[in-house]
Amino acid sequence: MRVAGPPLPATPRRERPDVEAEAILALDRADYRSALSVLMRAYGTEVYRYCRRMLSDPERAQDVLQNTFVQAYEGLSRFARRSSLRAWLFGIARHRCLDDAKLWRRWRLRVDSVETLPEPRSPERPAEDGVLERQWRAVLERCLHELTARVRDAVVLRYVEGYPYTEMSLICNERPATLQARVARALPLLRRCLERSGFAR
Amino acid sequence: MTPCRRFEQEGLLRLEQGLALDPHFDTCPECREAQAAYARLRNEMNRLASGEEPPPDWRANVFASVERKERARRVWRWVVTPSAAAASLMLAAVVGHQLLSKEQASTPPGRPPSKAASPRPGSGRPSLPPPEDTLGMTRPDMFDDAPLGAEARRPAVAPDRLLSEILPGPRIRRGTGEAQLGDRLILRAQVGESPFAELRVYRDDHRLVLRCTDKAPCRREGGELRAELALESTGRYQGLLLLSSLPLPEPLGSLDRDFGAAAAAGAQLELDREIHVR
Repeated sequence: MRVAGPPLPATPRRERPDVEAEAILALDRADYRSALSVLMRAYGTEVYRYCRRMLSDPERAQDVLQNTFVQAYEGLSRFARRSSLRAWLFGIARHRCLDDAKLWRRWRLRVDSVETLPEPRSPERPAEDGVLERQWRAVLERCLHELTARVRDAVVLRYVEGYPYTEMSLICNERPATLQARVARALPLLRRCLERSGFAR
Repeated sequence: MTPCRRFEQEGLLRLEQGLALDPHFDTCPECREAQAAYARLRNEMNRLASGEEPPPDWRANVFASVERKERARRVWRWVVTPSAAAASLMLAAVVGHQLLSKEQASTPPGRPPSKAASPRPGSGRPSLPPPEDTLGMTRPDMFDDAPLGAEARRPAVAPDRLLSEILPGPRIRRGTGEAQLGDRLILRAQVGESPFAELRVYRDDHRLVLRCTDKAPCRREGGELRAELALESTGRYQGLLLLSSLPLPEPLGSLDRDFGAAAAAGAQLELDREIHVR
């Protein structure tokens, strides 16, 4: 079975061979702090953005970002080199995000809070491009968060982070076919959500 | 007339699978429109990835956290390990003294005390009951053979008593254990000279979270296979040791199925107790 998927819309983010090589050299010297430093410089922003998409709240995303790299540091000596360091880092970040999302969901059920949605866009009210762009972004993020954490994770890895299914399979420890089906089922849900909010394009 | 939904029902999955679309999708206006809408949606999602930066001090915070943890670990080793050694010596001395006194009291004068009642020479430990299994799960502070945590949690499983105790055939033994997020699970298994040995850990029966043979994260040394796993998610963890003279079957995805497949292939299996991480 082919696992390529449709062409990715923009330049997919891939691991950087120079960074990976530098970090691996540091690992070979058992210099884990240098390896950590290299990884934080190269992939920190990417991991943060992934956490933001997964968690929506910037503070929680920052916490998870830091925990991800602390945990990565503790695991560097055991890094088995079965995947790139980038995919390995995203694997850790993914687990942290899913755990956090689970805790957050439980907490929200307990306090019964309701996240506010941006108002549906009125067709009669013209908006500046920048404002519209921000609103659309907020709605898309909100719609992403209507998906369950695992489905959101697959969509974010695929279309926000630009991972091919082969690498997603390593990160998620699931078969490419499972992830493909998950993404294909999620896209109509996203589209309906955008339509409900008046943002179908 | 009902609008055509074939693109959502079939086309999206085919595209994700990298397969060609059939000619219907080029001719059906609703499907063409849907195809264009999803292409836009995918493009727009990609734009979400740009523009946000983590706070400037996050790297310093990570290093500070790493430093704090390492300091705590050093303190733990310096304080606890000598204390544990001292406590073990004292315990051994007390128990040894008591056993010796009892033996001398019951032995007729002129006859040496029986060998069986003496503590094992050089062990410094009281006699323990025979080992029950070959797979021991412990906390991380025990990797260096520090007996404190091991004695406290599983008194019947001492690493030097596990040799050659491999139970043949499938066997399930269930007990309970508790751990917390952030703990590490250390697995030790006596595998002898078995040509194919594998350790696996499952979370909630259906997620394989560790699988290794003699390469990282496992270590195989002198007939013992060791692995270490960070318990980073809540759930029920359970270790499985597989031994065979033939290659072991690939995991199928759940503890029950893997257990059955390996048993059918003639592997020796041992399932450890359940560890609940809350």
